[in-house]
Amino acid sequence: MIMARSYETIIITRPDYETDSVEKLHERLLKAIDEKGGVELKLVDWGRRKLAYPISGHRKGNYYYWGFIASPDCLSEVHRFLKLSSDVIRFQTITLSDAKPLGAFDIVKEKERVEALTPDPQDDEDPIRRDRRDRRRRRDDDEDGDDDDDNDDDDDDQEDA
Amino acid sequence: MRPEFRRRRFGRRKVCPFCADKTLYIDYKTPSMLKRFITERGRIVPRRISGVCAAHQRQLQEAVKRARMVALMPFSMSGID
Repeated sequence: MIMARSYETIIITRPDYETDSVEKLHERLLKAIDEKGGVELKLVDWGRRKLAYPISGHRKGNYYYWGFIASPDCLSEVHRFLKLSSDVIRFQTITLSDAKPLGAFDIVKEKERVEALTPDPQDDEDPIRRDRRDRRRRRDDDEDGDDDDDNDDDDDDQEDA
Repeated sequence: MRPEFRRRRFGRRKVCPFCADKTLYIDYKTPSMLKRFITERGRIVPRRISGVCAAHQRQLQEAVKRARMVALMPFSMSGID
């Protein structure tokens, strides 16, 4: 009997990644699932987001959320493929459920579970920059504060102390 | 009981925000919520400051670390790029 768990994976692809290659990637993932025993639950496109820190030279990345049920074999196949794929710059899998026989999954319930929360797009902005900009605006609200981020380093240390 | 231990010297008792509001769900996919619990430098705020209870702090820690791995949250912020 094949035991399986449900998982969610965040996949980050390079920012210059095309839509049709995403479909190719998805196809490949589905193939892995079909062959090794698993069920797809959901694929959500989170769109292009700014990364909190650069990953292999990229400052932005396309985020995909993928929920699925997989056997251990299937999961390692998925991971192997993601690792080999040069367009994927980062991925992370989180286990959602305990091991159960594949047939014992309540697919509808699992699908409800992976109703993915999509991160707030406003988070794209660096919090420090936003904070500084906000404060600068408050300080001199007659001037129109642009998005520049330098020349304000002096108040940094005070905040941290 | 010795007098200095009778009560806190100042301030009021902090209440864990996650215990107070049971609908708040700690999830690594919501950095906007987690951001309240990291410092400007990106460090996780100790619970003696934030008032989060031990159980929720453990969940919070896990969530922040997961969010960091997928670049939804920073490991550190220097303020200088």
